[in-house]
Amino acid sequence: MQQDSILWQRFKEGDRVAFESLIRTYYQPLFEYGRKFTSDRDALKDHVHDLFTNLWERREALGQTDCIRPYLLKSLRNRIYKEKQRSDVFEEADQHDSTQFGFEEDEETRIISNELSDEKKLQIKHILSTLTRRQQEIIHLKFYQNLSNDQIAELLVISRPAVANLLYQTLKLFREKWQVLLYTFFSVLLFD
Amino acid sequence: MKDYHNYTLEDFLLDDQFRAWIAGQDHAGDEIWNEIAIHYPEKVALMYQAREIILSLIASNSGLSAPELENEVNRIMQTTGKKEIVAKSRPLFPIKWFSAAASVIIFTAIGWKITSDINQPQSVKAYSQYVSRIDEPLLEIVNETNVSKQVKLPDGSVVKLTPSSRISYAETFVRNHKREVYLTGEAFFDVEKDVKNPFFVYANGLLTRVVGTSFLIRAIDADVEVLVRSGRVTVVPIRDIAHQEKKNTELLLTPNQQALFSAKDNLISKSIVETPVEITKPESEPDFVFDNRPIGEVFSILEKAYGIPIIYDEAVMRHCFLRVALSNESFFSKLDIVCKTVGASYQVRDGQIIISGEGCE
Repeated sequence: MQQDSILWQRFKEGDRVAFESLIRTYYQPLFEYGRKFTSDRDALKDHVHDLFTNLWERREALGQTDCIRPYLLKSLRNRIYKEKQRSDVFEEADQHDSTQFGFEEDEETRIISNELSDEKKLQIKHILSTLTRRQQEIIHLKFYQNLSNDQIAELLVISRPAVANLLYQTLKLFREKWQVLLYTFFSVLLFD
Repeated sequence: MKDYHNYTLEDFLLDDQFRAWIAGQDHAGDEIWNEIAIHYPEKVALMYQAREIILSLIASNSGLSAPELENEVNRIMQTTGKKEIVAKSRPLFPIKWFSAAASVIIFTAIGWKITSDINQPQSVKAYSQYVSRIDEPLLEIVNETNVSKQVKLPDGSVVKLTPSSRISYAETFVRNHKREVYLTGEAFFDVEKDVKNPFFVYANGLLTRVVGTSFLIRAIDADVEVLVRSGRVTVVPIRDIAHQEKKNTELLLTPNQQALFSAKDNLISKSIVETPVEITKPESEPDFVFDNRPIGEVFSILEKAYGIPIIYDEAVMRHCFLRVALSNESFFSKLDIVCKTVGASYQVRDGQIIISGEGCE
């Protein structure tokens, strides 16, 4: 994380190359994370755009950080939530653990998984889409973003043991669902 | 070794070391996890399952395309760039002027880059990562024109930068007995000889080192090509620099040889440039006129003229003599003629020519 603090320091001093590098490194992870909350790609791009431009404007006032990723993820999350609070439609969606957010299951995925294709990727995607939004988010933060439990706790504003517990329960559920799916698959093979 | 006896699928999934290994961030992991697999054969199936799940969870699935990303990066740089010019109009120290000037260059280059650089995200990404790690003021030169641009480095070396390519180097060019340049795009280097301070070029995962020479580097998309015109150059994957004693992946290139580095596989292969040029005219023979000369002599003249090693079986070819007048043909045409005359054939392998023939009676 030494590199992170050098990069951050140079960015704070107004170095445009460091700033561009920051954007290039974190744009995709931010976009991936944001897609868990909204399916409107253009609105999401605007959010990330505003996040970075705001970061540049405030760079001198920003503190030191050696963990850029959790910091940026949290900023994006707050931004999207603030926006949602302004709009009642989103607020309602947020209170339910709606599966319309997050790992969306597109038409194609559904058709293929109904045919019980052995494409593991699609199976996994399918199982994810049956989890609650909170469960999907914590899996994304742990695996895709590779955050520590402490960082996740801070981001989701829950305790560290709660993170560990939620993660473990989610993965257990995931495994159970996967085994059911595998079992169905094999039984179809045997008895079809 | 930790006790993996009671390890479940969840435990493997949540094991930081295991995840880092699957994600390819822990190269030492191969040994550790292979050993665990040997000690706990009953866990192998679980490890495979965990691997599949991890690989699928760390994959991007938002469908953000490279051109989209470029567009968004440019949009942010432009929005912030406009305000920047106003903000910078306060007194600056002379040294800061350089970085201010450099940032203006970067800004305009990016505005223009939208159309031209779209196909090179991998190389550009690697470049900005290298550059961001340097804790030192850098100068960046971007060729925004349509023609190649000549850049003179502080040590007198000359770089010809192809349109829309960029290089960066430290303001104090020689540091720790090294001259270091970072490149994305294509550039021809004519390096000033300085044995004490070797010259290093970093481009998309490949490090090229030289003492004094001229060579071309093409780091446009996923691959990097290095073509040597004169002198000697070594290339090594940047990832392997730290452990060269263990796996020696450094390759030496001589004139007219070329290296192709695949950033994806971290592998270098060596071959011969498409059209080799003569590096020295042989002194004794003004041209390539051979009047009943032994084949060994012919090969050695070609070898010297083009600097390309030619390997052949001396014992077999001992009785072959050649009567032929060659002049401006390309290297490969000359080689064709020579080989046909003595009933031999050749192959290009690892930047060398391998001759095979049955000899002459």
